[in-house]
Amino acid sequence: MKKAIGLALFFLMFHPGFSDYVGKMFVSYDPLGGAKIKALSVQTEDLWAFISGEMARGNLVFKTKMEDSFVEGLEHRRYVQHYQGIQVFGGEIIQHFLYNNLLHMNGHYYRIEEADLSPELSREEAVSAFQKIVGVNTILEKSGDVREMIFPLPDGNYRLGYEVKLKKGPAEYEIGYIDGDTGKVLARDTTLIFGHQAIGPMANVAGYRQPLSTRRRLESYIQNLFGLRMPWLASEREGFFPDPARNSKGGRISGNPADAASISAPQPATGLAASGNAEIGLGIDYHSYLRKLPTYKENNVFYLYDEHGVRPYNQAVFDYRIALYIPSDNDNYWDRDGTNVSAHANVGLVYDFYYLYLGRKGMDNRNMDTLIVTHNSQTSDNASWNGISLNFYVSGNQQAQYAAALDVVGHEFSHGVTDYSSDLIYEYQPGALNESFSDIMGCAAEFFWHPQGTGLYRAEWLIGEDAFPYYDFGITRGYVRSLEDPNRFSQTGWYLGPDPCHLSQYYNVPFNLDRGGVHINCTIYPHAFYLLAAGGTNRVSRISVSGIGLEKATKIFYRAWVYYLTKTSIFIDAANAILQSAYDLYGGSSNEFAQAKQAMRAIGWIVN
Amino acid sequence: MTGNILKVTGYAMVLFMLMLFFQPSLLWGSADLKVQVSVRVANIRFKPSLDSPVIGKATDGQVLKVIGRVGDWYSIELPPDREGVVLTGFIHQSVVKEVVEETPRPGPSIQPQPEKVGKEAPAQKQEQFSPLPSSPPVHREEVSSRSALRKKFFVRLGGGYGSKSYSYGHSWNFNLYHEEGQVTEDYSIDASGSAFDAGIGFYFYKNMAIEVSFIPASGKTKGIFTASFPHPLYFESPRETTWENANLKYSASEINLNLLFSQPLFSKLSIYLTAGGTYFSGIKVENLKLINWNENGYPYLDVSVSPQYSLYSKDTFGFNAGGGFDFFITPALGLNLNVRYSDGTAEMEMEGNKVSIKTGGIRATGGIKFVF
Repeated sequence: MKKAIGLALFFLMFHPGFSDYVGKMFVSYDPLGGAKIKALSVQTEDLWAFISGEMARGNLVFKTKMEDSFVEGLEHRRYVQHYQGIQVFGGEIIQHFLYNNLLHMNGHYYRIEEADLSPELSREEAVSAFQKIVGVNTILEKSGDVREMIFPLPDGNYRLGYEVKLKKGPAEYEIGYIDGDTGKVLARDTTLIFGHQAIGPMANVAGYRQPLSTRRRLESYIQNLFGLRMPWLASEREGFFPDPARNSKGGRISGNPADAASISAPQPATGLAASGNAEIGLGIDYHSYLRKLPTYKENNVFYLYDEHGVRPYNQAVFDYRIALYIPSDNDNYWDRDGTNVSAHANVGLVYDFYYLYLGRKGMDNRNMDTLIVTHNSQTSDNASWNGISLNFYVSGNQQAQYAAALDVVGHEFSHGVTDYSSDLIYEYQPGALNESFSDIMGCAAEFFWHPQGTGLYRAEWLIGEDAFPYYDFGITRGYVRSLEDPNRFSQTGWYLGPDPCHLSQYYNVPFNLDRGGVHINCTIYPHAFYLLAAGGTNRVSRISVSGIGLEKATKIFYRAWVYYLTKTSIFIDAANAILQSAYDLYGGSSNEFAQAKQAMRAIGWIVN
Repeated sequence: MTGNILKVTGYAMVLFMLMLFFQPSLLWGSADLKVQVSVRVANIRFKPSLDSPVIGKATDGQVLKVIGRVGDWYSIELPPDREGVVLTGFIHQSVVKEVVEETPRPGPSIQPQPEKVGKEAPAQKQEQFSPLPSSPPVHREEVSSRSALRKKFFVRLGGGYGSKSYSYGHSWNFNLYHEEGQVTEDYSIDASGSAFDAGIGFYFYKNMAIEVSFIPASGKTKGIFTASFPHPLYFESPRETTWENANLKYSASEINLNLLFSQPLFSKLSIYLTAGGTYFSGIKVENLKLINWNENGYPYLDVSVSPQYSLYSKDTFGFNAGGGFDFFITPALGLNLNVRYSDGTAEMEMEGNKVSIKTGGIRATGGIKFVF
């Protein structure tokens, strides 16, 4: 019963409408329901002819093209549907060319025969209609933040409406898709995306119960009091060593790093120091481990800033407490704030993961500037991406520091990647997919750098476990979500139930509950990722998958995410994208493709 | 090698003693002893043995100068012949008697006839003594190496083959990106190949000579290098690179100052031993001076390295020992086979590092010897 209500609600909120489902249909039955998808084989000349006709009519406007990172000669071109020069919301096609020959397409496309292009509401009325929903103190910054758009409506008609972008806070915008006649909000997006949502009675991350130990409190008290590091209280542990080959060795660095400048003859003559202001500093991170840091030197002062001197993009850390200025240090030995060191080092590692593993140059694949804001505050410890910076928050009752968790840093970074590829709208199923792929990529980044195991700086199939203090007896029991066994945990404090691991456990919740449950329903696909990478059995379906390894699973999911998903992709689109991606890489008769199908079946899809 | 050197020196010492034994004049000094022949004709023999060939005869009453004694035999000096050559030989004590002072007895002057000895049959009867005014040209052979002693200087030139190989290596560290990088250098010197050995010498006494010789030596050093550069962003992820250079230079010239003892074997062949000090002038090795290197850029998976080499030189002292054979075609010209082992250790200063390099080698050369 609950399910039926949920279905109906979902249907009313938003659905892909009467679009033709363009793409190879590995999965055609959608148990999540609501989608009136007319499945068409991508090979029919009818569809192809139709699309090329649309292109000729100028209804398919080219947006971006991407060269495939792994398949040589494969190029993906994104097109946005327009009708009479006006963008159609949700109409997106991706065409895949192999050596300039069109291989196949996927996406959502609407056969529009006629559309109501004279709305009842004006732009201003649409703005105030949306303001009533999001709050009256929101601001329309500029007139360009209101755009006309054609919307496919639940009744099958197409009507002109508005995309309204309102500023809610610093670097926080709410985007509403408003029906031009009724002023109803058909869909809603945001630029501020948090790592987790305070939901229900639990104001903080559920599962974590232990307070800071007395010793840890004493350590930080003494350090803050004297501004010193007390070596016998918080000894520097063995140097942290991230290993691209995933074999952690750990090393010991002794001596004062400040005298690392001397080089004895015969000597190497150049290094990074020769390239302008860039220098490599050392820092103690949040967990008291030694990290190397790319820094910037000017007038004998060092800044926690990489001006594309070490990595090929700009990265800066802003400490919110000191009014957004970049932290500085006199000897390039950063031992006064572990959070800033962790944040700076971890974001760099995520960039390296994307570059070395997936061939991607930063969030936009063009080495865009990456800003990191630390020591911001919120009602709960959290992390976010707001379209401009990666942000890390602590609450008054701080229990976690998410800048210290590589998977959370990777999660937030991946939201930036989503913004520059599929741009999944942050609500309901697309929003849950947005969160899912951030969890998947964050976890993959952690497995890339840390050796598998339990404990600090060990790769685990959990999100956020390294954000919590590491106790000497090696117990860290805090985490945000689980990929291995989502049911074991509940982000809603068991208010709704366990985090889902199967489509049948999908929560159809309204927008005001985590924007349709984006953080709640985002554990299904990461669980499928875990099954495909490591192997395992799904609790609900009891279907087993034999793992194909992390590298292959990461490549399959990455490609599905950046080359096949669109703004309004729903769960079934993701299933098809993942299978298509496995098919591209390994072929239809490969074990990898077979296991990908098993993983999709395990979470509840019926694969053709 | 030290053990071998001790052995060689030991043998040289033994041979020295043996030779001294056969050089009674050294032990006994100049003697005033004389003997007078007490038989009608007495045989003077090459060696103190009745089997030894007769090299001359003395007549009754003739007085001969004694220069030594071996068993029942006196080693005596014959009066100089027409060319002024003084022969020595041995005469049995039974045919002479010792006299204190010379009692010159008139008699015909004795012209001992130099005999062909060696390969010629020693048992042949000798001819009667007679002056030999018009004797056929005397074949001046070296009946003993003594005749050659009168020819005191010699020059030896030879070429042949030398063998020398030596390996050494060291490693050093440097600081980079808050970690230690390391460079290892492994060299193997190969100076095997053609050798040249030349010397000039002077017999200062009997069979002993001083020789100054010169051996230029050169070869190649092969260096195998590894360098490990710490990564700018990660701990314990060094970029490693290796390279080799098989054309590094090596040269070390030797000037030897040796004592040489020679011993005739039979007719034209003699053997000698030599030992002495060696001055290695200008041992030059080409080793790594410094490494110029560049980061190849993000993601810093490798570096590019361009090494620079430099020639380092040092002089040192050592020793040498050896020996050889001389085969005299004529008393002035002979064929020579020379074998020499030389050894020295140089403490080279290379960019603040002390590196120990052993030099020298063993070489065998053949050539010619001029005696004058």
